[in-house]
Amino acid sequence: MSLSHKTHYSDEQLARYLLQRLPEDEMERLDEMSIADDEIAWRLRVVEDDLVDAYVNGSLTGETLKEFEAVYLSSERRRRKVQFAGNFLAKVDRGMGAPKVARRGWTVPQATPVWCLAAAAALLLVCGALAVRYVQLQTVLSEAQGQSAALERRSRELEQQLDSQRAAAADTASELARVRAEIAQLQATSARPANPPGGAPQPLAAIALVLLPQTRAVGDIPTLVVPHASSRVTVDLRLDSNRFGRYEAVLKDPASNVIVWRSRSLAATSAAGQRSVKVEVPPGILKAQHYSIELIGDGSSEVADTYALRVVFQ
Amino acid sequence: MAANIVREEESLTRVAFDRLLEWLDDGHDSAGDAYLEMRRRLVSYFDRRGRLSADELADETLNRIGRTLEKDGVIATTPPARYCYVVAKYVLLEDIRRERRHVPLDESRGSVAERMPRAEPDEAMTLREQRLECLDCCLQALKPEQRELVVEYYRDTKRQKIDRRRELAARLGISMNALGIRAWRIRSALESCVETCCMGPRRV
Repeated sequence: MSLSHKTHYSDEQLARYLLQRLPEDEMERLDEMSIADDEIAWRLRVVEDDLVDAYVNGSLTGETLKEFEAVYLSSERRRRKVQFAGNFLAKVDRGMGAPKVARRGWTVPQATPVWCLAAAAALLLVCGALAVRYVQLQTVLSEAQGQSAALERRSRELEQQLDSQRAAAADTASELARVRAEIAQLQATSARPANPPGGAPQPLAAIALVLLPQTRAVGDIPTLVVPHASSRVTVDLRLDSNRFGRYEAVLKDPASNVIVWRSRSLAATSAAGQRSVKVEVPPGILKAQHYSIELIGDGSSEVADTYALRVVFQ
Repeated sequence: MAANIVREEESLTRVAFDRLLEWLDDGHDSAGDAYLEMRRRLVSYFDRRGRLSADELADETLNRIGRTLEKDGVIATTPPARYCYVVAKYVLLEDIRRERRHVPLDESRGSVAERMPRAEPDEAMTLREQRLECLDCCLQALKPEQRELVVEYYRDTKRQKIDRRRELAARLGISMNALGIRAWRIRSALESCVETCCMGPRRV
């Protein structure tokens, strides 16, 4: 997604583009680059966040402030970004602790003591402005809630589309996983002393699956069939490289990119020339859905390998 | 607004969707990431152009391309992203024309404040608290080094902020652009996490 010949744009020009303050031909040129040029697409996101933060911090002044309020805040989606930035930057100010610092418009005006007539007049003006801002923010919050529901619906639709693409391959993988589970069960049974005659069969306590690093083919998602009786789910993650001795596994919901669970530091093991990391996932946290697992090298934030799987319950 | 968008068909066939994914990958299999990234860019484009139904227009753009791929097998224009822009431009113009035809002249859009639905003060306060709680939960899910990076990257303003970012990029041995993208990814994940958290039971 790159354009072969580029015009250089400064951050200031990109900010002017976001506020629709460039001539129409430049606007169109950047419209195209915002879609077709990777570097501009990314820089626009970074510049947009800085612009929003400047507004929330109260650093925007004059024409830029007016344009921001008239143009940027005219979109529901962008108002939601401003709302998030208000909360987020308050956290950043506190080093991610509880927010205390009042950012632009993100704290409810407190009752103000009146201690002299002159101050009272000034305070009235300030409170009036804050009250207007407060009403605006209430409405922004309410609107954002409605938009959230729409986003959730859209997210589900997209997931369904991708699911349908993967369904065919997943069926095969599901069958494979079932066969593997049965083999594992048979092996475990043969390794144990036989049940006493008439004794109840042992419940299946654990299940394991071998996962290879994510392939590029759409639809190549292995399925982990988890019997309801399972007390342990082990996933054997095969490594493509041996860059790290220890890894941390991060289980994510790919639809929302939310981290569902993290492992402790795990040592990579080697058997028959194949390096892998065994991860024991608590079955209680699993739901019938798709997951991704990221293996992160110890002492680094680098994602060494990514794995995808689908969980179904038997 | 969404109901006004005229679609040739409601959704893509499996063949069309497969071809669209493959075409967007442009020889580098991304397992659907290229599709999602293009959709994000299109939504932002339509949003910046003042379209209320940016999501639907982005989908309409991709659906049209998918149907062309299904019908013709190939699209000569390269790279794919440039063709996406060309189609998006048509979709935008059609939407503007449709709006002109259907919106009554007396239906002014009003100011930002006038367009916002009103919320009761108590309800707004509850929503705000819920968002803050969700943000706390999502922040907990970050790795310590990710948390450190966003605090360092987004704190301060103006000159101090620029100096701090320069130092941080030097310390990490990456360019300012790469640092910006890294910080944006974490912030974006937090934003999505908060949206998801506010819509349902706590997931983190």
